[in-house]
Amino acid sequence: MSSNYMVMIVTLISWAGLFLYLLKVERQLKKRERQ
Amino acid sequence: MWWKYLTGAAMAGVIVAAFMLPAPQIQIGDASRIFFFHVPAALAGFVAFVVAAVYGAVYLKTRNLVADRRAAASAEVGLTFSTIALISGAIFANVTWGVFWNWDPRETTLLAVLLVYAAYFALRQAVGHPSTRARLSAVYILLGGVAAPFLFFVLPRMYVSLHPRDTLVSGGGEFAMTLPVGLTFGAAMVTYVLLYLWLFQLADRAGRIKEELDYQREHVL
Repeated sequence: MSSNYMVMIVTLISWAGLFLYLLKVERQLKKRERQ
Repeated sequence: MWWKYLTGAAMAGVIVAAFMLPAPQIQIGDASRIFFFHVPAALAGFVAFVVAAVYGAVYLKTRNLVADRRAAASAEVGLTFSTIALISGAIFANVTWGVFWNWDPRETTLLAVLLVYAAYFALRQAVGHPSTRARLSAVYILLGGVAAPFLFFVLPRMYVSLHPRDTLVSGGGEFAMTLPVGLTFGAAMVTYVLLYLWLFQLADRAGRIKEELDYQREHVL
């Protein structure tokens, strides 16, 4: 596998992690706003 | 909420396209793919600073503290995107120029922008009274908004720079990119602005909750 693909996969995994974290923050804020 | 999932999917698409397409710059090769992330990050930072300045102006006109909170939220996100642009630019500089930092006009003006907005947060920390803090911050962010276009677009073009300048449009005014590269680049610009909007909204909502908690602490407890 070329290094280009490796970097692409690492970048995609990093983005997936950040995206899921942002969704988690979104849920936490919604919960707080309801209180 | 749907547009947040769209942002997630669009960013994944941009990442795949950025690495699957032929490198946008043949001489530099694969390292030139950073262009798909560096330029949109700088654009999102600029948009954030303009929005912050607009909210600063809204505060001065209406004296509504919501506008002050939104100006701070936008500047916070703008500082993050500009830092990403600065770091990715330094990495690209190391590949193409052989050094991370050489005080090129582009690097220097972006650093100046970062310092201007970092000072904005220092100012906010230094003033305790909410309406005094909001008034001073609004004037400062408005001045920052006037300076930002010069620092981003005008000053770097006034001096000799190694930074690529004909990436989007050639010296003759023609579109310089191939269609797939241009489309990916356009999609990356839109996606980064959407990501900015999402982060701005989160920062604003978190700021509102913090204000409510501070109020409760001072007046209820």
